[in-house]
Amino acid sequence: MERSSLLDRASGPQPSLADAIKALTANEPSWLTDVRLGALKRFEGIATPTERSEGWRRLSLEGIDIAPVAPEPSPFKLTVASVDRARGVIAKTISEALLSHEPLVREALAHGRGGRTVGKYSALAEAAWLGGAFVHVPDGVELSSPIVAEAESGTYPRLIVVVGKNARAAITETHRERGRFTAGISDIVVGENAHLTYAHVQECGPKTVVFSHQHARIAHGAKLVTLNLGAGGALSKSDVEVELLGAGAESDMLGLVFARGTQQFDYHTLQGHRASDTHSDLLFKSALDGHSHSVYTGVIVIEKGAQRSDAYQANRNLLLAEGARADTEPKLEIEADDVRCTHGATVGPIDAEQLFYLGSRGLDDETASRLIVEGFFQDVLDRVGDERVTRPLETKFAPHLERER
Amino acid sequence: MALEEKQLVDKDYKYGFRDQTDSYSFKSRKGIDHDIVEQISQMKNEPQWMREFRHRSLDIFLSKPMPAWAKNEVLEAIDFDDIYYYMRASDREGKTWEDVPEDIKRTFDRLGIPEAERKFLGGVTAQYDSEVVYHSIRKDLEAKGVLFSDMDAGLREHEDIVRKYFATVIPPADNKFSALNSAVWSGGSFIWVPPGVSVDIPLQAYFRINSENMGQFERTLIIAEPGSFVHYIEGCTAPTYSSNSLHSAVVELIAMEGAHIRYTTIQNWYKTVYNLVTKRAMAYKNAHVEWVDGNIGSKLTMKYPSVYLMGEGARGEVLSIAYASEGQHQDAGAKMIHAAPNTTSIITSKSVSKNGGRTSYRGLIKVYEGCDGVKSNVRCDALLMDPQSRSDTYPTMEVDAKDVRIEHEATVSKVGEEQLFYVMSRGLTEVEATTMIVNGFFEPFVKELPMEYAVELNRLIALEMEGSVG
Repeated sequence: MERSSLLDRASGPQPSLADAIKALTANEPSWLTDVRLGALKRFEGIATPTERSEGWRRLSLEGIDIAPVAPEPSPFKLTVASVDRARGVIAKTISEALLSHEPLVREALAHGRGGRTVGKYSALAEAAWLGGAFVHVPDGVELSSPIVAEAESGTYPRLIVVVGKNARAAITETHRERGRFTAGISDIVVGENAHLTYAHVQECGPKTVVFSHQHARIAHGAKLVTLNLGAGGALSKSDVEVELLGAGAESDMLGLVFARGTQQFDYHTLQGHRASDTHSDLLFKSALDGHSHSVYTGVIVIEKGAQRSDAYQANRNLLLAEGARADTEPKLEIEADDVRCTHGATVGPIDAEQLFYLGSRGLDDETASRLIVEGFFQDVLDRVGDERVTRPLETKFAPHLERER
Repeated sequence: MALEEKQLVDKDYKYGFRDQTDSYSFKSRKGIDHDIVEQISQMKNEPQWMREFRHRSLDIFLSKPMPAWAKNEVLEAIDFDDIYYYMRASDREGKTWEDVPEDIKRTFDRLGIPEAERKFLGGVTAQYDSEVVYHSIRKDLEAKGVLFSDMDAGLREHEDIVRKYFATVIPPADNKFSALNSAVWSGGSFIWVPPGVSVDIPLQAYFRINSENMGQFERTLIIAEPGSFVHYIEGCTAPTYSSNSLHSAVVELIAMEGAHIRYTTIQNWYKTVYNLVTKRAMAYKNAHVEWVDGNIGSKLTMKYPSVYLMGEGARGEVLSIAYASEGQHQDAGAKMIHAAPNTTSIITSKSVSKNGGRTSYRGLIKVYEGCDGVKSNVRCDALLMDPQSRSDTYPTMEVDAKDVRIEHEATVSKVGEEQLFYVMSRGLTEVEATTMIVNGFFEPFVKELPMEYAVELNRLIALEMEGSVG
């Protein structure tokens, strides 16, 4: 009864969208329907953003259509080594997983979204996801090679990654959607004493509006290394949230943005320390060419009782062209005293001395600046600490290092 | 234990006395509307343009919502209808010290004004509640042609200068509280320094709030003509109150080409006062503006001194400290707006939170398109003294020019056990050691103060630190 009344109200400005979401719930477990409808309600409760809205006012919406589109299936192409499949690693669609692993799927999807910045489009993605993939690495399993999940079509992709206790895994999630609009969610659950390296690669079409919400929960003694690579899209707005839930949990959060033309990238990060003896270290770098624009806002939250936590946060922006812009807002909210927290941010052009030095070795300016940008990024890739994940990315993004003319 | 400490601090609160203030000669009714604004303007016999300005500002105040970014339930608790917006302690200003009424003199005695006189600290503008009742300008200032008076006198005697610059740096529509101040302002200082004149003694004013539910809305305007220098010191203390008071000042500084203004504030409002202040400076070509800003008291302070760097070579500096104890939130910071090439700015912020206090640094560095050669450095350090306290850092950098160097760094930590151990191994108690470390932490700020202030601040910190450990 509750369900139908909600949907009646929802049928205001977006009747077809609400109906389409309702249709998605047809053969689903009721807890999932509740999650979808709750998210739909939140989506409808948040006003459509304008350039004056908080969290949006630094972006330009000129020529950008942020109106939502209808749900279309988002299939992931999943590459898993057969030896790993044999060890019990599971990679399948979420609807298949709901039949075989409902408790795990439920644990990932219905935990109540601890993130602090669930925005309008993240709520929409939670209501409207279709297709998607579920990856499970059982307790104690060490993957022989990274799992690759690639999405090329669809509008509301969803990836669930559950890594069991004492497991070791690496996964790369790549997005190449080329439609007008996509809003995705990635749920990552890292079990006790497990280790996960997760790369999120965004190389969507040049006209695509891309929303992404990555939410990771890290248990006692576990470690998560995330790498976000932003290259595609006209406007790309991402929330990258990590919650350190158990003592000794650890997270390295890395980010690289190659922006050119009139691209806009907006990354929001959360380092949520919710247990004692937790450690997080964030480094986001962007190189901005043409008339591109990068916005970074990140917050370290150390909750009461999360004593002996260490948190670091750095945002570095390299301005390659006169028209490029960078805004940065690294924030700290500290409610425990026995902590060590530092953050830093810089914005500037390529160091003239470095250019001069390379020039004195016979390199022309273009080659020299390319080398410097490569070095600027290599530093981040090295910190991922898993070449099997980063090696393919190095070659893939070489074309982006070419300067615009 | 905690209660005892609180009582101790309350009892020893340095300026926690209160005079009988029945002798108020005029007190507007509580609340704010166009009648009150009209009354204030009439009482002051102001020119028509100022009267209209006040009414216009009131409309803006009434139509503006509370700042949404603050998300501050404390702010929402202010009852604007329960505040007196204007009162005057005596009918006219005292011309000399002898003319000042006895009860007011007693108040000033405890604030140390005669002492300041003896020490040749310069002209004194003493503000008692909303209106300046006493001020003197030393003869050497007069000889140099420096104008230093309260704002009301400034408007009466130098209307041409005031009209030219008033509200040009901070228009009423800037924010809700600048609109409120523009509607009901009273008192504050007016300073004009002629070209090339260097005022070598700091100019000072003492402010007090001395009536329950009394708002204080002073308005300060300082104009430094090309090549001049002036240092202005504003020290605030307020006596004990049982209910909340609102202090909402507007301070405008204008540093013309090559001028140098230093503005020092130590704010030690009693812990029930809302201190919501807008401070902004314009720095033209090669000008230099420094804000030295200390926040020790008040229930909630929201203050972000700004420098608009309007001409090439202009320089802005903010050095600020904040101290928050039980029930206090110091939301302080700084803004540097780089609107010309080759401008530089430095922000240094230090904060200490104790007994559940909360300090926030909120700042902005903005570089406009085409402003190459800009350099800016922001440094924030926070000390947390116990697990109940909180520290936030909210810096923002918006950069639209390429050849710039923008750096921000912040740290949050507690007093190092090694530091404590080292100092205690020299025979100091834990309280003494902690006090010493905190004083050392604030040292870069304290050393920028004139000696009397430095001594007083060190004493205040020592008093605050007592009982904070153990």
